[in-house]
Amino acid sequence: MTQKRQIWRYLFLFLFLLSCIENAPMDSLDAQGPYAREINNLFWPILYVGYTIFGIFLVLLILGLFVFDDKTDKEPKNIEGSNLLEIIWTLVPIIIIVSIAIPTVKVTRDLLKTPENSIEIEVIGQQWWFDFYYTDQQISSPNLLVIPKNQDIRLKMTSKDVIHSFWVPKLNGKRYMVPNVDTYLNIKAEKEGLYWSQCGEFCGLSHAKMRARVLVVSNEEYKSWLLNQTLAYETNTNEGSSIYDGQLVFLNAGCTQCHEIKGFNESNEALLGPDLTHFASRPMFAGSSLKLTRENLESWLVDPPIVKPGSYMPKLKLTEIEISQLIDFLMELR
Amino acid sequence: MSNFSTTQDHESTGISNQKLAMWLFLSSEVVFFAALISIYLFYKRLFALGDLTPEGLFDIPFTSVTSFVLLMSSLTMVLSHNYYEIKDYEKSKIWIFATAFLGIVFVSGQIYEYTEFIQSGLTISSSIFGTAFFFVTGIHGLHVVIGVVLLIATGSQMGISNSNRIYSLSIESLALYWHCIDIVWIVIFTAVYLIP
Amino acid sequence: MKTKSKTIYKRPNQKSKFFDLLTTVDHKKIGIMYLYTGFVFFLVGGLEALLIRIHLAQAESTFLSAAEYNSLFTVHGFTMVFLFFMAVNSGFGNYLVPLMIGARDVAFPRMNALSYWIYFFGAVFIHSTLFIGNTAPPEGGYLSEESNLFSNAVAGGWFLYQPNAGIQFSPGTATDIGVIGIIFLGVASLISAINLTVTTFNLRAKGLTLMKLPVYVWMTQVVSFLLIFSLPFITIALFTVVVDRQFGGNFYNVAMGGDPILWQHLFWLFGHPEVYILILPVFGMISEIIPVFSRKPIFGYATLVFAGFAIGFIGFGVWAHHMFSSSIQSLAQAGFGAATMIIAIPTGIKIFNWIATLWFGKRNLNVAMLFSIAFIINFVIGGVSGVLHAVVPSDWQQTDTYFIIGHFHYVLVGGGLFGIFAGIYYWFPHVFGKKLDEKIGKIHFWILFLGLHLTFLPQHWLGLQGMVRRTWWYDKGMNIEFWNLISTIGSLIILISVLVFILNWIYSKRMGEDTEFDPWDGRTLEWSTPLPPPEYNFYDIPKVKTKDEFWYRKYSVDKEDRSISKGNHTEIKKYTLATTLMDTSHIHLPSNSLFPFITGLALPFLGWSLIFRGSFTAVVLLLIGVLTLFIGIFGWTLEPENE
Repeated sequence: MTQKRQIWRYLFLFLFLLSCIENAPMDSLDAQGPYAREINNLFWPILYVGYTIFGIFLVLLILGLFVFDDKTDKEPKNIEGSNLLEIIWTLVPIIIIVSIAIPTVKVTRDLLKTPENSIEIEVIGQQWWFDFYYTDQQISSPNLLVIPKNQDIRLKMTSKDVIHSFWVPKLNGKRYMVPNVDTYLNIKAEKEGLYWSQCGEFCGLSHAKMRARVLVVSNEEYKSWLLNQTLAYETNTNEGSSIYDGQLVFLNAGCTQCHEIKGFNESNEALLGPDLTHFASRPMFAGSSLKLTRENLESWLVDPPIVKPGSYMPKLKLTEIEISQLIDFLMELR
Repeated sequence: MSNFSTTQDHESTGISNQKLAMWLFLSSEVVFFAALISIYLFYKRLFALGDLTPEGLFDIPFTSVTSFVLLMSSLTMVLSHNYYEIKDYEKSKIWIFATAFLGIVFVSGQIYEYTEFIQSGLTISSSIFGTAFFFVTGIHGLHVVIGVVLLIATGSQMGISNSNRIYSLSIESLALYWHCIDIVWIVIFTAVYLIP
Repeated sequence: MKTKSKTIYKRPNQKSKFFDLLTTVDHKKIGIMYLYTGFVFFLVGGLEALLIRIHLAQAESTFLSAAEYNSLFTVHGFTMVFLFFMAVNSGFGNYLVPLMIGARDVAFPRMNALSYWIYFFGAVFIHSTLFIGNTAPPEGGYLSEESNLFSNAVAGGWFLYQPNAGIQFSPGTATDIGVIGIIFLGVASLISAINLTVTTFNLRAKGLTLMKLPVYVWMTQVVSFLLIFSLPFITIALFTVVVDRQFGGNFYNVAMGGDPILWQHLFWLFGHPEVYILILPVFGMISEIIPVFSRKPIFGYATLVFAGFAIGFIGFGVWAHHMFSSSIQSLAQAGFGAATMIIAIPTGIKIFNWIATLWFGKRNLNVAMLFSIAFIINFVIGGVSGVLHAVVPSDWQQTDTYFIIGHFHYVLVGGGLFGIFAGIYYWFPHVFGKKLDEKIGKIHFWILFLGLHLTFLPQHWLGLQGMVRRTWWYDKGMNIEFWNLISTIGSLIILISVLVFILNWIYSKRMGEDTEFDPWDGRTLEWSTPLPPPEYNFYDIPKVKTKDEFWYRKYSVDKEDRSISKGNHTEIKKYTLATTLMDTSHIHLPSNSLFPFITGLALPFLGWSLIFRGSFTAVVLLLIGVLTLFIGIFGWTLEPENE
């Protein structure tokens, strides 16, 4: 393993452990970036206005029922209405609504603007995983979006099949990914760490398992990660090693129909499955629904549709040994 | 509950139940066709991109003639209604059948148009233009067919006195329906055929 | 109006109760049929919800498979919205409107029966998806699970977003059955809306001018207008889906230039008015119940009516608030957000009016009133979370999460269901001549109240914690298991409350306190009949002088504007009950007819013939369907007017 890959591996492990300390990884109220924070700053005061309104109605109800009811022994007065009251409880809500609407409109338009000095990264959604494509470097990073901290990222998003939605609650709200259309989402993170993301629009059988992770790193780490990702895999030539055998399994089991590994099997067409060149450098796989461990890989490779119903990856019909060799090979793809 | 009650023993709009119902139904139909035509217009910018384009396929003079036929059928409908009002049931019958006849001519023209287009390769699945075109004109055509059936049914009962008639859709309501379908066609003709 | 007509055959003369049900055109019977059928689907939809909640109580649960879960939440949505809620609204509307306006029946009694039968057969047709529908993974995908009853039903959410619910990604007949079924139900609602509108405008009793109508009748009228103008959108939208799925159309075929967002626009142009269609009748019921149990008139009658119209009207202008996270432009987003907030104003006005009715009144906290008051509380909670959704950037976080689910269940269950129960407890004596038991009713109420909050309040929190909706799986690392468990416990409590209600129903129908006349000291005309009312409703069509006509027959007003009893209640009761024994030869009622039933029966066959197109069975089904339809319509026209 080269020096760069070694460093990268340890760094990633550390950050991954860091994320486990997180209590509620999808908590939208825990803003870790300016956009999510701006949304929360709008939300909280309005929520308190909401609480107050509820409180007022509750008090009015209780007062009307128990304090200001007609206590005479005659029938109540037939009060048909009151123009004054009607005016008051029309105008006051209008004022409240307008005072909520104005900041809403402002923040809405603010958050939809294109930020200056942003890096554009493409996001392609498909059933049921996210592909993050770095256009300048021409690298594809399925399931893991790596971004430098304190940097505006403009995500240019689309879908290859149905409507999906990309959502990193701690960084911003969600936005649709529509086939044949480009949609945009700004994200910016202030702290390094591993953030959770999930598809927010029902997209079929395994919608629930369509997730991603966003890894926020320092600028240097980002550059070194990019560099690492451009490197191709060096084919193992050590016949008899399980990795070598794993390579053969990969070639013979049909994997190359859907998966590409730079430096190993390249394809000119657009393939259905994720690029596996740096598969083992990422903490999750299978649409970020499984942690990258041997056990998980095994259960996945044995029967993908059991793990992700509707999966476009079929059962492979491999023997236990073949699967073990395949896993050895896959774990080399860092 | 009779459709023809006109006694003043209750509060009413003064419009008969059946006519009011037809107005309400037609207002729903107007929104229906508005949505239909909007879908067509929504996709219009894509139609010129395929092999088979509206400019290439449409025979405006031909469709203008069939549109004129439909327009004339509204005139015959008015005549039928007028004669009905003055109780000349014989003439009313003639004009209502004339309306039905013109309606059939219109639909035949559409069918002819469809066969021409299909032979050229335009089908509901061939392109988005095909889908939208057949959808809009087809749904309208279905409404015309239903109208023709109602016209014939009403016409064949013309002259049988109220107490003996077995079919109660009034000429008035039917005329409203027919005119509405005609007006909708004018809008469709403009939006689909005429506007580039 | 007797008509002597060429009778080829006579109208059915109901000998058996069953045949009477099939042929009745009596608005009251039809209303009750809607209520019973609707309640059955409430139980079905509730079962579907329970299965979902049991599954979600645990993280990484394997109780249901993905296919089962996806079908369950879809069918739950369809069942509750169309087969339960709209049916119950129709039930109340059909039963009450003619009675409240002093009419003997609706304007088109056979069309009324037709609406019911189309609904009934439409519901049967939709549920056939469980038995003869099939689903499959998207083209190219694999499924290792076994398919079964629940996994074969339509999946894709009740919004059926394209292209996911299109033929490529949702192959199989299940989705088509759902789509065509909803088209049928739309037709039923349209016919009903037109019928009730003509009834309300043309059949009112003498003196009952429009601004004397009960608020319930007005709200039902707004709903009828909403249906007339919003159903076309869903009908056209569903037609486009049928064209795409069945005939290779390209409306939502992205490769050919189709735009899936078009579907969303069309759907929500119907979908948003639909939620007001659901709740406005309930607003109407509450507006009738609170005055009676406060013993004073509704506060702000005119503003209530106009607010109803305002809600309906503005309701057509907010549809894209369901699409805030789509690619619509920032100006549109801001505009729809603002419009959505504006709807809060007429709604708030209504709530203030209801509360003001309570003030200075003499409260009677019986079960109907408890449900009405809880309705207000729950609806305010739901409304506040609704306004929070209108805050567009916040909605980008909230949309498609459990926060939204919390919101709409508060307004539909906390508001709608509570209002429906209020209506049931209030009008049960009218329909059956007995009261529902108050003690059991209070137990029912409190358990439901607890269950509602326990189930749906945590869901707001879950949504903010990132729990996405329509997800059959969430992992342990998300730390949302605890509140999911609480929510599930809540749903089981709701189940208990429903069982208590059923108990109350069965018990009270046999042993309930008898009421022959006006148990609540009612204000509106429907209470002026004997209970249960005779088929002709009123022996003499009432002549109306004022709003709350029935109240002012019993009460006059003193100098302080307080009502004083005229002391004539017993007299009125005696006379009213005596009319049931009097000669009714001057009263003409519409006769029964079998043809609405036959016409409705044709629909499932036509639907199935489309879905199984290409096979010999389909041809047979088509022939049966066309023949039945022909018999139904032709027979209808040949039928003698009335006998």
